[in-house]
Amino acid sequence: MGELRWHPLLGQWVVVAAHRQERTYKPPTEFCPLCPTRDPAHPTEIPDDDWDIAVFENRFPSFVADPPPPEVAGTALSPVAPAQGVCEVVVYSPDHRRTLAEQSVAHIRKLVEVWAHRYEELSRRPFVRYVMIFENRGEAVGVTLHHPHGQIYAFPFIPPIPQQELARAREHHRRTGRCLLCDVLEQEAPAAAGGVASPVDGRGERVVVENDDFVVFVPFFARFPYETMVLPRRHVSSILELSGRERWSLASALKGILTRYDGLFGFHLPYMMVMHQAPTDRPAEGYPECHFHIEFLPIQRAPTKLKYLAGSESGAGTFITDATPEEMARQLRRAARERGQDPAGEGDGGEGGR
Amino acid sequence: MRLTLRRLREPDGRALLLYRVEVTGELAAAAEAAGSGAAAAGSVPSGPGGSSAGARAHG
Repeated sequence: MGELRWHPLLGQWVVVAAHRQERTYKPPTEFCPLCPTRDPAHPTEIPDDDWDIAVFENRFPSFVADPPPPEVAGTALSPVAPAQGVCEVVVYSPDHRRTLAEQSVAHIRKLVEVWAHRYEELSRRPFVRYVMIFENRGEAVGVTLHHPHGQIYAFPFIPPIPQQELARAREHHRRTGRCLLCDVLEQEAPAAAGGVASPVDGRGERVVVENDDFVVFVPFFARFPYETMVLPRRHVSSILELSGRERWSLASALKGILTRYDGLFGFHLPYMMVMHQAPTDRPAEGYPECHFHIEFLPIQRAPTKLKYLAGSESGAGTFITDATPEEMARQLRRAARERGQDPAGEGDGGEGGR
Repeated sequence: MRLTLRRLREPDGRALLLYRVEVTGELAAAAEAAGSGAAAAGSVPSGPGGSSAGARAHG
């Protein structure tokens, strides 16, 4: 087990987890550790198939609840700390081949329920300050197990990107009295009559999918190719605050964008999916500025080309994109139709055909 | 929506949680109908209880 080492220049923790070098690496299907055990002589992580969604603590975790002391001494500039936290694997179904995009809306709805339960349960651990639900999909993103699954990291600190987002949102709230992402939503999908965005006059031109409760759009400021944000219309700070109806709508919106991602180039698009929501350290003032959302960060910029986080992105933190967000949104909207999947099944003349 | 959880342990002591999530009654039927439609057509209907005919997938 490793430890946390403080990066004095960036002011953030680095997790040293050298034992992860030994983790299971692209096993053949018959030796998949995430499939239910079929031969007791060769047990997997999951003993039976009587479940919808399985969650287990990662065998090769970056954090554990009861970590040993750091193996190295820190310095005045770089203190060290135990890597205390929780790392969980979320197996989407017993089916080895069915990706999240291929699951029914009803099954994704079940997953939303499990995500909410995990967020709630992990947030009760006293050492957990931030629960991040995410999925890395595709070998290009670094996936080592092909059975469709996501992960949850319960961090002992608020990681830098959520922290930066919260700081910006807090500043916006202080200055304007409004939520930053509510204002982004108004910019991307302004509520018109009936709460429907109108891309006809240029508004909503980056919207890809929407329903009564959620909007999925390529942000004006997208950094990754075909990046999208899944944003609830109502201001909620965590998945726990979503009503039953909103949870259905989230499942539906996820199905919609995932279908388009897979239709875009005709193969399972590699992506990172990251859920951003309120930290769990429960300060007295709460997190009124936090607006729950999910970000999809794909890395495929063309059918045979990947976007690398190279010098400018990794060295300077400045992203350079190869296409405009408006064009990326157009391609995503077209993706389902070109695969013979007319969005909403209503054709161009219907409400869903814009 | 009813969530049933079996809490088990891996042989090495790690937690294993097996979830059954029951989508109850007419919600289940509506969701399955919506889900199968979405799978075939790429549509994204709102969940049961939603007031509209479903998602508006821009195209």
